[in-house]
Amino acid sequence: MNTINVDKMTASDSESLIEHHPAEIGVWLFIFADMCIFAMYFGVFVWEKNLNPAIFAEGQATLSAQLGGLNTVILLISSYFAAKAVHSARVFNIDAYRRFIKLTIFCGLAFLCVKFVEYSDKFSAGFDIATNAFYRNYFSFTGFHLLHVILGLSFLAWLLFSTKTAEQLKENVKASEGVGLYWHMVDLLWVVLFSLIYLVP
Amino acid sequence: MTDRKPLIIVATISMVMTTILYAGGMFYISGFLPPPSPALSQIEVVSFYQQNHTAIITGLTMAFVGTGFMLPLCVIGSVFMAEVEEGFPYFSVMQALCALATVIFTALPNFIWMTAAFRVDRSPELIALLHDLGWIMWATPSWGFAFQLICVAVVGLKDKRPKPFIPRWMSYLALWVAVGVAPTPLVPFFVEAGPFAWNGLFTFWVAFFSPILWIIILFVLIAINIRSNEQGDLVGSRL
Amino acid sequence: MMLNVAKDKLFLVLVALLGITMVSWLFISSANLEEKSLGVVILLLAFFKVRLIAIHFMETAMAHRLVRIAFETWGAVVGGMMILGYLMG
Repeated sequence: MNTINVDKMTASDSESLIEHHPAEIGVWLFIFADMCIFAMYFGVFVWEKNLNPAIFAEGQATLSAQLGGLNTVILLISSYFAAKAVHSARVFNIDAYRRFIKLTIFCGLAFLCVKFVEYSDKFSAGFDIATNAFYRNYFSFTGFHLLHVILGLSFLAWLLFSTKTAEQLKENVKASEGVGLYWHMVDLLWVVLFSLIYLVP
Repeated sequence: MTDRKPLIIVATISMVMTTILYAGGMFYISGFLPPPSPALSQIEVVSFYQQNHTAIITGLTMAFVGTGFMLPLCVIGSVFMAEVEEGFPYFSVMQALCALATVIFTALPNFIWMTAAFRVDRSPELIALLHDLGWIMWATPSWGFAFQLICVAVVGLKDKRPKPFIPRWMSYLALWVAVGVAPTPLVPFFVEAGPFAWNGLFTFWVAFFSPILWIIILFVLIAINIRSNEQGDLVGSRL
Repeated sequence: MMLNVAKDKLFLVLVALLGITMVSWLFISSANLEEKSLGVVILLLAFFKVRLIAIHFMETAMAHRLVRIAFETWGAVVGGMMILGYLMG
């Protein structure tokens, strides 16, 4: 009742589309509220950048747009895998589902590795959260985003461990949609953070 | 099934007492909230304590009495949660224990600030030290409250009864509040004012008011549902 | 049948997202544009990507109408405010 059967869906089925919206409304509420907190982060970043343009330009020059861009690509691909996993869940294809969840987790771990390289570069170059306004924003916002990635990875791992058979998958379609949504939000926020912190001159 | 109305009445009284005593003491009488900037000079800090000596001690005393009323409120929450859990009510006990941690870390700084205000002729360095100690202790530890909310959310999401004790979206909102209070460990890094200082946008305004928003919504739901809750739900499942 | 279409559509969206990411990078290396307009273009592209992710990956189109409205508003307001703030600096 709560699941969406992609095969049976047609354009005229608009009634059931409204009834069967993906994930629970509570997940949407969580995600939207979290995105509002991140919106404040973006606002603070732009505000402080306007206050200290020189410090921010100098700080941005020390960042590696290559590593940041690599992480963007990794997260975009992982988001695609997560979307595919949700689609597999809706048709109860357990093999494809587990494969895509594993691929998503793999990409998430790759993101962590790149982030580790990036942070240790900054630490060994002598920059930390207390260096100046730029690094305060850089480390707090990307760090808070990293916390979201780690949370998302634990949700994905929970899905992998609790969904081993097609029967379990039938129980977990809503949960998969919720975790998928969360993972897309992590991706979406990184897209803005990457452009804002690494690229915008 | 026990009658819930007395519990809800006690919880509401506790909530009202906490609000009046804590908000009145901290915001109105002592002027400690919203927090002063961490960038204040030593002279400004000392003159704040010297000029408001009596108001500070009165307000802080009221506020720490107010924090005590959070305990009945949280324990009643655990009573509702324990009915959902099977076997040992792990999350309910954890929620109540973390409530104790929250209360302690909210009340302890008041005694430190009171000490700062206690002897007006104390040397200025020591007053500034106690001031900082109090603020760092007040603003940094959010884990107790975050764990409380996570426990509530876990139990709320496990609640498969037709009338769960809170609506499912309130569980998700609780998780969001737990994420919202997460940046407070950044407080000790920043001496200058900014979004992560102890009076900052994320570490005070979001971290302090998002839990309050959640509790206000909870009590609005309880108030809407107060007449029909003999059936075993706290705030009604349709909302 | 529908599943295949859905699969293809997701892949096309991914290709578009990766393409836009590359374009943002190319803008950086070429830098023929004036600094402010370059920043605005990058931000606009970022929020276009946000919209793609929201509609196709998060399926806001399939969700409740309020969700769709909330996400469109978020993108427009946050993107607009950021570009405005950036131009004022």
